[in-house]
Amino acid sequence: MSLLKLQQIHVELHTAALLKDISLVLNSGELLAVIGPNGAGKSSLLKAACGDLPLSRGAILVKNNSLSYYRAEELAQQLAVLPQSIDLDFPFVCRDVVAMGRIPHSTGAAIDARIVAEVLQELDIEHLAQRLYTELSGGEKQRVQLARVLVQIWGSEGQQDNLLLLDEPCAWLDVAHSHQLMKLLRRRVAVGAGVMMVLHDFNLAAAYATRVAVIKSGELLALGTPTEVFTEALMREVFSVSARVLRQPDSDSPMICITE
Amino acid sequence: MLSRPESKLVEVLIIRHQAAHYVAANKVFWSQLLLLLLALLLAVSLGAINIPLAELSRAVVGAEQASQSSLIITHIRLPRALLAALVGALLGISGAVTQGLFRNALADPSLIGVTAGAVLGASLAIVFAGTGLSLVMGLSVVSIGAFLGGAAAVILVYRLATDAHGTSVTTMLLAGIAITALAGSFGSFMEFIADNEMLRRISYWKMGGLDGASYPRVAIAGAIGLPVVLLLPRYAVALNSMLLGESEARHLGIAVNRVKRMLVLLVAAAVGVSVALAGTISFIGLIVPHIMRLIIGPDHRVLLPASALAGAIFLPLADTLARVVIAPTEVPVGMVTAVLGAPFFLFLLRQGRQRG
Repeated sequence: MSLLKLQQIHVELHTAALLKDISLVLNSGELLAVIGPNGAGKSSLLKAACGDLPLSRGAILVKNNSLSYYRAEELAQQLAVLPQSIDLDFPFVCRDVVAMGRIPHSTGAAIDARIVAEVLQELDIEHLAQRLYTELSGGEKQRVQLARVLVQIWGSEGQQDNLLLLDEPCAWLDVAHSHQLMKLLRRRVAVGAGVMMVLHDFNLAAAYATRVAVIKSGELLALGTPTEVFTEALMREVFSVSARVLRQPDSDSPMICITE
Repeated sequence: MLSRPESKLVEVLIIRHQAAHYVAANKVFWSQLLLLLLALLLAVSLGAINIPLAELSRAVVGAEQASQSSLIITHIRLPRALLAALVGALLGISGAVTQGLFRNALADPSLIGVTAGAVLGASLAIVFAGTGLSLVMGLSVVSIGAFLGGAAAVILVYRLATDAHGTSVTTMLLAGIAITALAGSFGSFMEFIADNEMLRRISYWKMGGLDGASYPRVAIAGAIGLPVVLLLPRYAVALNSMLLGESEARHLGIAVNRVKRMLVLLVAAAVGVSVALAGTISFIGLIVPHIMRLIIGPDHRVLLPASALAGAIFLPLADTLARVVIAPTEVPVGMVTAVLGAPFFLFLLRQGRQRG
């Protein structure tokens, strides 16, 4: 089932085109990685998809209804967004920050507490639950915010086909936590969620994404499985690097090795 | 070096400290209720004439008919204490809301221009309404001028900061600064053309005072203040989410623009009414929520009621101090709150800098 449909969306800001006629569909069960050089429009794509950037042309459908069809709360029950950075300067206890993800839901305190506990455990941040948010390191803050958006779309009452938009969620994470997060996202996708995420690490995208979208100068240059997208020609054309594409010995997914 | 049991104790204390940053909300709430009662008792018993507690209780239940003490209490000190508590509560909760709205723990309700507008309104009333200053429902023309001036300033600031995309909090802050400066210069002009008597009245009004307290004024403060104090906590969860950022709040299902409009309106009504009835009383809106946040945490669900109660405790105490410090002369209470508040504010600033 299509969770998110972008139909020829075009975004302009002060006459500069940020996104040029981009169309793509994100289905339930898909983990779509958006890659591209700096300033390509990856974050703009995510912001446009969730309604933060006004469209000049085109349409966005969430579960086949336009964004404006939903009440704010209704939309928030099925779509969570994590931007590149969040400035929270107030000393909340981390558990309370994570629990904010339950604001759009009225499932009751008991279910909310159970979901928060589950997500804290999945992200391995139970030890941060009682700490003050303002005292955490960058990577710890990022994991707390990830927990918040996961809690928001964790799904209860059997409804799991929720949408998660993440802008560079691995930027602050170490290798182990990046892989832990990608595995967790794959498990959410397996039960019906759809994830669209901006990634900078080709190999993370190649190993975990079901599909990869390549953006450059606001245009969608390629869209397909990692094997289809990651080619030596594309790496040269889009990222201006010489690369060799190898195969992971265990999974046969592509492995990008920069040779320059 | 510590012996084993002692080091164990230290360890436990450190862990305790890490686990529980804030005092439990219900503990704070009950202690605050108790303190509020104490503050009101002090406010009615202390003054130029001290009234012992035994006599106080007789006066309150009305056992002793029309004695001097009971007259002082029921006609002068009780309405004054109640007005102080109401105004304090309004300033405390408005401060907490403003700091949340601006995502800045050092913001103050006067930032949206309401105080400066009210001062100008009052000055205009003093200069142009002449010496009559007739009373309408227990309200002087000055109070009405202050309320209208405050309301006009807020509406102007809000309009300036709002366009098709919604209200920009940053623009509101800057527009508030500009409107405050503009109202200030008009106010200076009023003082320039005022005669001596008017000038004294303006400057006295600006310092803030509760000496005009009466039951009709308490009733007006209650009629506008209590609904505001009861309505604001309904936006506590929205305010929490808005601390993450406005887009983030929207993605959590909050109708951000509607919430902002309601909050500005309620804060303007609260501050407008308190300025109209008690003049400008500085630092309560800034310091009270700040202290409560240190004690109870930034969660607005507990911070808003706690700030209201703390304001209701603090202002009657400050007013009592203002009445007794050089009795029988009264010091304007705005001066007392500033003298207590400013050093504390500077202390907080330095603390914040040290923490980085």
